[in-house]
Amino acid sequence: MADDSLPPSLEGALLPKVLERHFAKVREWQKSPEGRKALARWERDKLARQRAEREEFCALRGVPDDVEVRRWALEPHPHGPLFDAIREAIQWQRAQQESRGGLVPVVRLLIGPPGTGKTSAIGWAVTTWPKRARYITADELCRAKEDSWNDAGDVSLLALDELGIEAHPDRVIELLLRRWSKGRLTLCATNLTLGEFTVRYTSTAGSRLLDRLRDQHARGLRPSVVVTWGSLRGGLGL
Amino acid sequence: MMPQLERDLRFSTAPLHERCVYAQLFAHRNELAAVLALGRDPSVVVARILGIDRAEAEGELAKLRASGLLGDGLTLLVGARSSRARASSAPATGEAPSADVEVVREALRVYGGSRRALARDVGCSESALRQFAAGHSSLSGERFGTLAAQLGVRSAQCAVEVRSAQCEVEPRTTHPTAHPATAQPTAQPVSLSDSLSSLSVSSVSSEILSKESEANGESLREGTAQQLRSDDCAATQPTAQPETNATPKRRTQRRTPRAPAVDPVPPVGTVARRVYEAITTDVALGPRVTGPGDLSMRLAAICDGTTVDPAREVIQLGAWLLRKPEGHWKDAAAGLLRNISSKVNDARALPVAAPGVARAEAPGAAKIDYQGRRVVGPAGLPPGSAWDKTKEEHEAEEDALYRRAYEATQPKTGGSNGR
Repeated sequence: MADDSLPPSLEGALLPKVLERHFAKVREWQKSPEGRKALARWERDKLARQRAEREEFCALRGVPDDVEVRRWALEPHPHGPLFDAIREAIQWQRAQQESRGGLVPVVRLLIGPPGTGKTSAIGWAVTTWPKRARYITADELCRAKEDSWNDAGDVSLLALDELGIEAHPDRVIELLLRRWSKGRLTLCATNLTLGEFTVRYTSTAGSRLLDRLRDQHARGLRPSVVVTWGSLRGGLGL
Repeated sequence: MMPQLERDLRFSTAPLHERCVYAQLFAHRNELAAVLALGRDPSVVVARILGIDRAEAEGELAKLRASGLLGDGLTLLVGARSSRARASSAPATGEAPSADVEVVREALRVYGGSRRALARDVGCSESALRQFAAGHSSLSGERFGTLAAQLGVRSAQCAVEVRSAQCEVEPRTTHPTAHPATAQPTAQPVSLSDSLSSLSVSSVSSEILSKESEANGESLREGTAQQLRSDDCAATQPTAQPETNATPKRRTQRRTPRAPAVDPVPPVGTVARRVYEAITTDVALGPRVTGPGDLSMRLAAICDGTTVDPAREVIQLGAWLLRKPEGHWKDAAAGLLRNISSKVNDARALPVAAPGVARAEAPGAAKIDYQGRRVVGPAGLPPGSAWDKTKEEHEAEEDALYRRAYEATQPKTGGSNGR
């Protein structure tokens, strides 16, 4: 909004003289010291409200209770290669949907050794997603009941962590294909290397998944993002 | 919008137009009572508040009364009880105010609306004077005589000029109106510039006080309005003849208001400029710091020659202050100076090696993230691990994977082609 003093419903509308004068006074007050103090107070309250909302989403959407994961999940504007990779996927999906018209599925795979911030990054995405989102590990997914499994297939954003530890990769493949057919965004994190992931998920039963990932790669978005640094655990200072 | 208004259903269900108009009247509720006590017409008052003409103001008042937000006159029905501007002081239509009421109102005008001063001189309370002005009760004969005497003295002392553009001062040649019991008819009606240029009545009394100080503070009991006119507005009186033979009056030098000091903005590219931008863009520090330019130059000067980065310290302190409750650190400039000075003192207290001594290469300073936490870099990958590859190597591996997958899906050329 260019003029914050005008409510969105009145922006660009022809206002009566009385209301124009009123909003002119509002703008003038906003520039005064008292107005700036009120604005700072409002900014603080807004930050507090946003933080409370994100904390609620963390709990509702299943983000782990780990202190570091929650800290990054509640961060409003985190920086880092993994966060940038997730933002790139979201922007690419939006651009494709605008140009092609319709839902475009996206799978972004975060591959790296343990402790490199993959869970924190997908937890942040789940917390800040404006629509329905959910965090779940592959093992929980395979042991989940049908309702929970269907829900994981329907949510707008699914963060699938710890790929590779589940007992039945077929269920994971089936879920990924189901979400692909519905045009959803899926973020996966795994400690497997690219070769191990390929062998486990794209062999005979997963050849359809490999073909879809190849299609996404051909359209301009790499499905996998590889971490090139070591573990961060024990690194962030007090 | 004010919360006490939002809570009322009459306000929240009213149309947006009426709500805005009512909010503006409510914002001036403290002045409304004082102005109405002087006998002003509600539509005139509303017209001055909203900046519209009188006919339009009457229409707005009618709409507000129809919405149930306004009572008779200018009685504000929605809002705090103490904020009601009672319009009962306004006289009913067609009913002329009594002479007593006119006298008291005139006295209030002469005193610049200062009920306290008038009540003190007359010898009654302010609330009683308010009742007299509203016409609810009448002054006793003795008090009326006192009021009349004070009125005469005051009218001879100063001419009431309420920000007239032509600087017209109408001489007060009236005799003080008397109580009917003493039977002294009024000689001339007092005429004053009837202007609502300032709704706050205290500004009018300040005008009067400035006029008195301008006249050297001497008593003008003997002075006439003619002398006053020549002192104040001689240029606008074409018929006034300057008294060249009279001794010039000693005028006290009017104290010119001190111009506010201009806050200097540091030049671009300097450390002080970085500090200035850090202060002005900070949500918590920006509104609390007055004179950020001067403060930033002082902070840069304090940190000059030390390892302390003032801009980084300002950012950290701003983030810390944002987490604090409101009201914390009222003097943000003093807080910044105090904190950064202590850091500079700590940095200077560290021992410095002699210049000739060979020193081992100092380890890199720990990085601090934007939240003030020390950041230690990630551990290195174990040598020979599968992850020990560059980004380009990983991408090449991925490209090869998808190329192979593509080739596997394509029909093989050659072989049996129908032969």
